[in-house]
Amino acid sequence: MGMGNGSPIDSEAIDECVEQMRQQLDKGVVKVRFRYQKGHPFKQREGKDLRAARITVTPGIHERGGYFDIQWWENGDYKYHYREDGLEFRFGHEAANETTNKPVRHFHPPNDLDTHTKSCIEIEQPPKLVTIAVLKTWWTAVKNGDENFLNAQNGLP
Amino acid sequence: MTDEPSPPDGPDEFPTEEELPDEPVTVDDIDPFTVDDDDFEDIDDFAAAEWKNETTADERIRTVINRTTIPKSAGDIAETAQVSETKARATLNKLAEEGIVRSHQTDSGKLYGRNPEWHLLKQINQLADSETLVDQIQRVKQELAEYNAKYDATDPEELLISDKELTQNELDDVSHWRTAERELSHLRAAYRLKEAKEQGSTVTEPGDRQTGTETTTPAGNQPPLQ
Repeated sequence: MGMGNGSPIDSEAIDECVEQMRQQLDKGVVKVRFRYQKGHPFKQREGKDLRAARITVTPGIHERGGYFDIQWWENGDYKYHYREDGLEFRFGHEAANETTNKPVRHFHPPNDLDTHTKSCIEIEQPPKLVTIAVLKTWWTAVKNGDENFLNAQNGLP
Repeated sequence: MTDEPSPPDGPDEFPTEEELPDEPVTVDDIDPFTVDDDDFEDIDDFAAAEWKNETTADERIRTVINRTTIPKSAGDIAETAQVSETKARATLNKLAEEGIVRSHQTDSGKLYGRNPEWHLLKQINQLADSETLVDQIQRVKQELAEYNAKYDATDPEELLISDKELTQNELDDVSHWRTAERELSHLRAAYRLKEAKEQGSTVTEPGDRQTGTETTTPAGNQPPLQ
């Protein structure tokens, strides 16, 4: 059980997400770095077999900026992990939750990261589309300076 | 090293002031979306409308089919790509003729998926342009050696089929291990392709010189047929 459930990492999907982020946010994307091996630091691009991307974005919800860490696996699982000083949240897709009481498409809210709330994002593919949805929830929180908007986008404000 | 704990994945990882631009960027400086909030009640509908607004139907079909490894019906692909089924079928059939898509008839209708060979060759061809192939191969080999040593196994499938119940951390290792195996095979193929390309270009040189004396032949600068 777990993200990806042992399937290989979908480096192409991660790249598509980065491209989509740049397209949507333009100068809101400050920097993009990549991880090439489990547990290793993020660094500049040095090949296409990336395992995760870290996108530094600006502005933030309460701070001047944050990190979006993005991962996709070949079984369709994904993780979008956002962090700024004093606040983090995650949108995830975990197929292995199918056999548990946790939702496959879930949201870990800022106030309680261990909680698996049902995600407002139901689309699963392609990564570009999921990225737009995640960015929209984040952007609404940024605009309002309020993280409570994050997973509350059905019946958009 | 795979034995080391993962780097901090907690709340302490966030951008420092130095990482952010000196000139602050505010919400007024960025306009991420082309469609208007007010028209949508649902995040999925909003995202779909935004994607449609930014792309053509052909682009969306290409994006979706490029990720379709398990063949699907034109209807399913149309739904994901936000296009009509008629449009999807026409484009997919065209892409199948070009070799990008592979289609096959089943009892329940025609199914479409990306052509795995076309996809693989495209990736290897792109990789072959890299100037750091040897460095990348060494990096991936080192990673594989670490997993071999850590689990005393030659490949990740041994772990998956063992009686042992794998922890989340071990499953993560399996994901990375499999990714590294895939990558090593791609990198090696790219290296061979690069070698062959370079070989090809040195072999033609003497030939060019020979034909240089016969510039008046109708063959012109085309390579000899023999």
